[in-house]
Amino acid sequence: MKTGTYQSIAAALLLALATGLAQAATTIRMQVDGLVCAFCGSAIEKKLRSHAATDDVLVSLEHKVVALSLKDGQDIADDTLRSQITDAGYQVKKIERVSQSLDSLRAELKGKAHGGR
Amino acid sequence: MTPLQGRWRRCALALAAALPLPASAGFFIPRDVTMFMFSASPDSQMADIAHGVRADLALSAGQSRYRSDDRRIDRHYTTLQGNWLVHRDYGADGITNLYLFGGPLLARSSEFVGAGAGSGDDTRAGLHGGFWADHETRRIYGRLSTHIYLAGGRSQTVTTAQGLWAPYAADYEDIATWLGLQLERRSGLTDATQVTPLLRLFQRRWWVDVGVSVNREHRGDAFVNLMLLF
Repeated sequence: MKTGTYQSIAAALLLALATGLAQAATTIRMQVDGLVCAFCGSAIEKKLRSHAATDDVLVSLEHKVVALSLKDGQDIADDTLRSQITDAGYQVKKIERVSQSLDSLRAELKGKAHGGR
Repeated sequence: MTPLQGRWRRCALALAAALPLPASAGFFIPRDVTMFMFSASPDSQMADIAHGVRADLALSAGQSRYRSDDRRIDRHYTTLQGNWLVHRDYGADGITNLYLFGGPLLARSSEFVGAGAGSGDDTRAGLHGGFWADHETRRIYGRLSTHIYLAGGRSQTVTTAQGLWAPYAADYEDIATWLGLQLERRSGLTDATQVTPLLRLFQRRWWVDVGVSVNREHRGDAFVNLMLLF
């Protein structure tokens, strides 16, 4: 009985920790003009991945979206992001930080692409 | 050896001899990105390595070879080139680009021997340059470019028009497939116009064009164009 209580408490703590981490994880979502070609757009991925704070990068030509997830506790300034996208040859229209994970955003955009046309 | 074997052998030899070669055009290369480009057909080979030094400027170095229609004259160009993105228009569904490019060159050809100063030498210094304009959406691509070479009192012009269509709008993870037609007019060394249906495939950091000329003068001439980004 006592063991079961400890297990429940441990499970609750783990769940709370996992939820907290998920909420803390930040995804930066950018609307980028000019994204028509994966070959040309790959420079954006290269530039963003070269940043120490970047965990993963998502590019969607269909939705003109470039997004990246950040490593825990790290961030990239908007000016730096704008500069890197501009250096790659494109224009940033909007930058927003969302609590949605990159995987979730990827699934959402794929769903829109397949169901929205 | 059959003519086909001979052609393939020449292509293979040209490929082997072409490394490292320069760029013939103002293809956009983003800052801090390096691109290697190689193209080969029976009467021309080109290779180029380019690096983006600014958002609107790339520098490249390379080598190219053109052969006359009667196969008697070869011209080899070693080039340095600046590619300047003069204007990029961001439309709702696509982009339009205008590039100017040019720089110094060294031309080597048997035509130069016995002509003018240094008449025993087959190499002349010169200039080259041109423009490249293109428009691209996820389903349509159009390009017009001209490249002029000047050396040793001779000039050569290569004008290229391309129109391509994508049967599906590829996304970032997909392999993009394009089908189209290329018209290429060369003057100064040859007076040939090549009409070439082509297939273009690319994904992220690699790009391949392949085609075979269909006009009578160059029927059967195959070409391949490869590009890699680093």
